[in-house]
Amino acid sequence: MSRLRALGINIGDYLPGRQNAITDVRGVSVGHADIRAANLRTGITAVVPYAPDIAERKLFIGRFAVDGGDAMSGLGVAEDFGTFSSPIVLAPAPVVGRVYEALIRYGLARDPGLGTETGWPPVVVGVDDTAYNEPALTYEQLTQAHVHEALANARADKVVMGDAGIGGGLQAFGYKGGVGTASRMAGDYTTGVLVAVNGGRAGALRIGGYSLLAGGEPDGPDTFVAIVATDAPLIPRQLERLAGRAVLGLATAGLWGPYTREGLVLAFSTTGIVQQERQGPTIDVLSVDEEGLYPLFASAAFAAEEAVLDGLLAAGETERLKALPQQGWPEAVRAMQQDAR
Amino acid sequence: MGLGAAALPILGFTGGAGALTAERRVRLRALGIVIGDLQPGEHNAITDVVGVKVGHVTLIKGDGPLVEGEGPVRTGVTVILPHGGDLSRSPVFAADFTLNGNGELTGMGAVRRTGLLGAPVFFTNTSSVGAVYDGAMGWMLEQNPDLFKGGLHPEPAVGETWAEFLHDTTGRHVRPEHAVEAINAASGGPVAEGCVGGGTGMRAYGFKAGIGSASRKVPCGDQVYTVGTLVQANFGRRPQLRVDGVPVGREITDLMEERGGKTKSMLAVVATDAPLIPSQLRRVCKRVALGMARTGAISTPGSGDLVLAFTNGNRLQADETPAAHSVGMLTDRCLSSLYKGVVEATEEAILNSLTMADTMVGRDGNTIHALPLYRLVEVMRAHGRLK
Repeated sequence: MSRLRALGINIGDYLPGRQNAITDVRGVSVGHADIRAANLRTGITAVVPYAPDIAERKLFIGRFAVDGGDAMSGLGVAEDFGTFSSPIVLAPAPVVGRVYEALIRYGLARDPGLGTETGWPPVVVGVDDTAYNEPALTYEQLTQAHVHEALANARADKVVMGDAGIGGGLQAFGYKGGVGTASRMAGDYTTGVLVAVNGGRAGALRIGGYSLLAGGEPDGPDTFVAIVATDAPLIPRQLERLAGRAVLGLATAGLWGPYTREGLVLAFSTTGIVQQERQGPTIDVLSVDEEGLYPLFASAAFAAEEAVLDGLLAAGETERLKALPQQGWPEAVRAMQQDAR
Repeated sequence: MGLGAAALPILGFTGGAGALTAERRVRLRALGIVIGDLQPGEHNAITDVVGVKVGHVTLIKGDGPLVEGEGPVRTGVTVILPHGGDLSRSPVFAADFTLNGNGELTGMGAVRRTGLLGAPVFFTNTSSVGAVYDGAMGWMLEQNPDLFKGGLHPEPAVGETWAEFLHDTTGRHVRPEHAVEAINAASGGPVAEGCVGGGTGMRAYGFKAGIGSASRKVPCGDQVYTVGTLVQANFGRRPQLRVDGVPVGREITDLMEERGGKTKSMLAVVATDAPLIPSQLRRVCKRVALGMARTGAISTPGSGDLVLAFTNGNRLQADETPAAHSVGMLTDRCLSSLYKGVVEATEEAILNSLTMADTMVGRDGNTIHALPLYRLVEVMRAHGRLK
């Protein structure tokens, strides 16, 4: 298994961060829980925006969704206030309620009461992993303990990609899908993306602009979820735009295509706001100047595209689906990129 | 619950303030207080929209000091079913509106994406959203194992308000099976109001409140449509309370709870049989805010004032795939009458939640008093609004 960059293929401009992962954004950690049983390969992935033992923290969030909606709790607060304070948990759609309950318990164990500064409402995103899993079986087998396991596993450095967590049951471009991540550093700021690489039609994959026409099996679920993190101080409207730009990268890789049914991108800034909230009537909010946004937008697009490809490369072959072959195309892509220069 | 049954003799209280809790609870209209001029439906409830069912599970257990995880328990689950069939295969047009977003109403992503509601609607307390969602999802999967096939992907709509003043919110008292129990208990006809279901632990304007409902007949051309609302009321400060425009909350200033606490949100469902498309339903949702405002609400920054509206008058069959569904769309002229019905029914539903709720003692002996009906009538009389 190799990352795209190690194959000599770079996506777009700007350098990646140290791990080339969403965790390059300081404070962000990612944890998985894998669930394997007879006829079941699923899991949970938690993107934790700040150390979980911090009780009072509120961050800005923005979202962009195909058709304006997708399975996500915490929508009311996220849209009306542009804030959230919960780990973002990607889980199979049938168990969104159970994950929600687990996060409530997690929050209550840490803090008395439920407030928008103390982890409420939980942000749970339902992902369609029915390419591998019968919803009834997922519903039967997945427990709240799996959610706590994912949170406990959260690490701020290396992110396990491919079949980890929610990546276990994903299908993309007719190949085994998975979790992918990448990052970019532009100016003073780091922007990272994590993608549940799911959907995309067989033959739709583009690697660095190169069309991989040969494609795996026919189509699975045409839905995806992506999370964008940045340490740039952005306000909610700017984060909505950042989420939209990540979509450009997903589309360039072919994940967001003409057949996409659902898709959701959440973007958040780690520049917290609530720490100051109780100290006076106003809060100092930083907001990147308009001109300063464009390198961030480009970062999100490049990182999103690369995350799709790295997620695919990291996914392993299963009985049902082949992994993206790692031979044949890298030379062609390198040659094409060379020619373009 | 005789409609328009003229009123005052029903006040069965037998003494002064001391007999408050013994006072029989009745609906606003039974006191002779009439909101607006449109006629209510047969039961003056959301169930007047044919096919709509409401069910409650009420959980009341224990007294005395709060012991987290043990109780006292003052909560429950209320479910609203848009029709009696399989919603995931036969969804209804729907839309939502956030007046102030500090709350949760799950499943609105799917509603916004498709304009369709393919799941029941539940109201509960804040910490129980996950359990209710989980129970509802299990029930939906049993109803329709193909739930995740196709593009609809319906999600349970689970809303919440905060019951902490009376209830042990930390305890996991609402379990997934309570969602199913509520569905099994759902029926048409009169709707239980006040301290029932999700409304059990709620208060409004410093009085005990909870679930309330009302309906209106909306004439339009040679058709008469029905619109009904159901609310879970948990908002408002006492001085703000107005009943049919009368500043009742400034006249009844006693009977306050001993200590404050957060109370701020309202959930509302609007049901109609009028043929509407989702963009119209979204506009209908906004009128709920006006009904709220008439009772005195300002929708505070801490509020989760969330509204969902659906029509079962435009049924689609998800498992059939015609080239196109034929759907109706009300004209703007008729929509104006419907708006009026929504505003009136919302105002009356909120007030019904107050007049139907009994005084309740909860955790740590915390007490929320019922709105004293005889004093309400006195105030309305003093303002020349009742004879």
